[in-house]
Amino acid sequence: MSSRKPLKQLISEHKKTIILALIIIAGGSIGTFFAIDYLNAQNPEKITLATTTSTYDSGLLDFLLPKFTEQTGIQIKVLSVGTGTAIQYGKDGNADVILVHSRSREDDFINASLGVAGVPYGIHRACIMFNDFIIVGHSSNPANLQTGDNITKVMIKLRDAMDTGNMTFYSRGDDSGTHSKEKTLWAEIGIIVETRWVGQPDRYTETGQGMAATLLMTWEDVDAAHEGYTIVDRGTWFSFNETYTSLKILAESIIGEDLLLNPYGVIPVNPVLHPHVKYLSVSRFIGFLTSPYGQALINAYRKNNAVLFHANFGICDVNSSCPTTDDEIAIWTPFQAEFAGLTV
Amino acid sequence: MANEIIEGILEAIRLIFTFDPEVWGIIEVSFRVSLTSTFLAALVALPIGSFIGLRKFKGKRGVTNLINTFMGFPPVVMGLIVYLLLSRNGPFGTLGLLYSTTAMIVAQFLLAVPIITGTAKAAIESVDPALKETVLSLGANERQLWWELIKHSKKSIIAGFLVAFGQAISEVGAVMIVGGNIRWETRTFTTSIVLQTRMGEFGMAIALGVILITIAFIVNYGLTRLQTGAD
Amino acid sequence: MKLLQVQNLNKEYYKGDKSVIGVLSDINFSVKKGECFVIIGPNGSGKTTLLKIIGLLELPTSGQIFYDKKDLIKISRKKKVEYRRKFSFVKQKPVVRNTTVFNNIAYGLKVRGIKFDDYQKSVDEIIKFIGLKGMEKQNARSLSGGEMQRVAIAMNFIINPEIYLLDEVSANLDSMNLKLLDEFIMKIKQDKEKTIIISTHDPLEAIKYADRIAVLNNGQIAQIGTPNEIFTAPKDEFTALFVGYENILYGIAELDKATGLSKIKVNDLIITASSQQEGDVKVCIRPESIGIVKGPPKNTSYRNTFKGIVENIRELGNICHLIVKCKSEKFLITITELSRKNLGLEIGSQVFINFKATDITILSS
Repeated sequence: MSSRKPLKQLISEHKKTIILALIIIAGGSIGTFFAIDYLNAQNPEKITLATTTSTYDSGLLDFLLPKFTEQTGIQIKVLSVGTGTAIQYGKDGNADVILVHSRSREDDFINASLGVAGVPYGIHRACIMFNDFIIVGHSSNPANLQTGDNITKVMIKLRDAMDTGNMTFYSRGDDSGTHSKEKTLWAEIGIIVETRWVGQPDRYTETGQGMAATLLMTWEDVDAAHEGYTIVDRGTWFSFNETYTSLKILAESIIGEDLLLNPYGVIPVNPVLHPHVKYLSVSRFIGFLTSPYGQALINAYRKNNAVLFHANFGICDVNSSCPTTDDEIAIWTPFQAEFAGLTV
Repeated sequence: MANEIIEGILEAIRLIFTFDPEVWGIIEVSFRVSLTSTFLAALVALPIGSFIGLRKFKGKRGVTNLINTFMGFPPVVMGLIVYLLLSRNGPFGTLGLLYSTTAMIVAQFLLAVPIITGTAKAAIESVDPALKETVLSLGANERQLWWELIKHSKKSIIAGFLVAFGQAISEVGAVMIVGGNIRWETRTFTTSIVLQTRMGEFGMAIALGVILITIAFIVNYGLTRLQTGAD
Repeated sequence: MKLLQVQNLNKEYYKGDKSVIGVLSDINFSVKKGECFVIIGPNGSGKTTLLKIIGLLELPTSGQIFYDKKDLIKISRKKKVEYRRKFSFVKQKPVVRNTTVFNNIAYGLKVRGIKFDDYQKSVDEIIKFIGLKGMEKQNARSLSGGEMQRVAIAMNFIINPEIYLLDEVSANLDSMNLKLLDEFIMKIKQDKEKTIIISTHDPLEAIKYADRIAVLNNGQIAQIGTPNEIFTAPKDEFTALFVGYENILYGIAELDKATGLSKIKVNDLIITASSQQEGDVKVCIRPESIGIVKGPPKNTSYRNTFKGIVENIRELGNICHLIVKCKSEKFLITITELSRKNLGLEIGSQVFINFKATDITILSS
């Protein structure tokens, strides 16, 4: 009869051994993954970059970063969020370096008096490139924007069309770089958007979402008497212009005017404030971005055959937006040596 | 849009069967994170839930209410809480675990624990009291009774596990906040779909959506089989 | 020796609206080692609750249960398991675990830490005994009701406890399983080390097994005593009405080959019964089956006629109970109040009682 001893019985008699083995296997593999995550966090050759969705979604970073990693072995984890969030990540020390596009808030970020006890959150900002914002809408164009209109004229025309109820302006409303640029433009003609169209979503709608959703809403808002407009950076626009075909560029930057230009600044998080940040690896990364090699790569990047970003480190004129100081140039030049002689 | 959906489905098939490394990476991360978190949650929640279901004690009603509340805890809020805990200036900041799969596992673990606790408790409580008495009268000690009740309610317990897993793998808010949607590292189905949509890459987004829906379908099919099927 | 002593036991339930329902109140009794103690009462009288409390499956609201002078209510959970293992509890409705017949029957041994190799043989034996050989691997829940009952009986008897608690077990059994259960109980009764507590609503079953009987009415014990005491001298109307006021006599039966009838010697009376039994028996006669006349009956078909004296009369509305003493035995007889008056029966009247051989139930003891 003992031949009938069922498998179940065998299992139940060695239950403890089996359970122990399972726990060791499961615990071991989970523990390994945890350990990998922990070691990655400590690994000086793994840095975290917080950047804006517009940069990331354009595909530029997926083009640039592998070339940097190939050269240095440093891996970059990219957090793609809004400019406001990216700056907050930098302040909290959750990123090693930030790449954002909101000049005024970048200035605050590196302003010692706005830091912690006189220590700024970030140091040695470098402006590496720019692109531009454009105003898009439907071709019937009820606000009657014309090629060659300067930005002040554009904003006034938009305001008037909104006030007469012919159009809705779709704002990101999410504290992103695009949103803060838009607010700056309204401020140019004396409008504070927070108070101007309160409770009038048929004139001014805050989507509170990403650019894609905002473009979608703009695209869908179309009938004979009433149409949607929005502001978008050219990089993001080229991701969607084939989807929302009825939307057209209705206003863009004109020569000699830099209000619509969109400069991108890269800023290391201050290692004095956050000793854990991997400042040396970050410096090599900024050396790469500001080097002739990095700058050439930025200029070479295409999406849908269009140039999205213009490198501008060290170039200072009104047509290429001009944020870099001589001090910054002096600091980053030594780190560029590593990438000398490389060509696209 | 209809064209895009069909294209998306074809794209999904293509991506899976050409073993696209990015898609398979996303599948791997999604499953690793959600399975690990649900598994760990089960390890913690099963004893707690079955203990609550098994014993009568003072304050049991309060504990039950608390579990039920946390069963519907908003994932985004959980993401925020875990972010604040793991953030560099938070209490566990020095571990540097924010924006890692570990952080995602922690968030999903915390979301899954109440779900599995609640279902385990309900499962144990729904076992026929006559069976409980019979097992006790045959001389089972507390641990043996517990094991017996677990065995008898295994269907409901597995169902609870599947619900928690389904919720974990389709959850987006918390993993986005604490995982950061980092390519090759913490990108899951859901965060990837958000990103692809934002980038206008609807084909890829729909492809990932199709895979996710397929998984959801399999999980739900399993649930239905459990609830209606024989042993 | 008192093995089990129940003292001042109370059980109350709280309903949803916080009102209290008393189930048991002030229960006191003790059970001796080797005794068969029967708790008899109608449905809803609290029998099952009382048995569950004794079997440590439920807590009383107050009171004590002493096992060998140890209070079982106050001991720790761990100790309770130890004491619970001295009991087996056979339920009215069989409950089996969702596993094979073999595993169900072996469970009680397995949880006691006995190894497979050590219990396998005895489990196989008992499976054979209950007639389920070849079905060991079948899921017990897929069995028929009768088979499931046999599994439930076997799994409780195989653990060989000190005290058997049997809760209305015969209530739903078919005749075959009834016989099986009877065999088990009779076997245990022979073992003077084993104690049995049975709850039932069937007076015949109580008479059959009981050394002593407790009558439970609405959560209270109405009377405790030997079957004879209970059935011949019920203390109150409830007991009298419920137990069916049986006459129970103990005697020795001898088969008369010529007539095919039994002659049962009960002390100084010889009772003729139509049963084929021999040896020690219990003779049960329902009071309404006994006829009563003043003078010696003539031309009667009744086999049994005895002269006696009315010792007691209890009036119960339209009917009344008479206790008639015939030589050393007492008989309980029911007649209508009207016929009592017509016959002019009073305490001390001389009467003749008679009953048919076929109206007697004989139980072997």
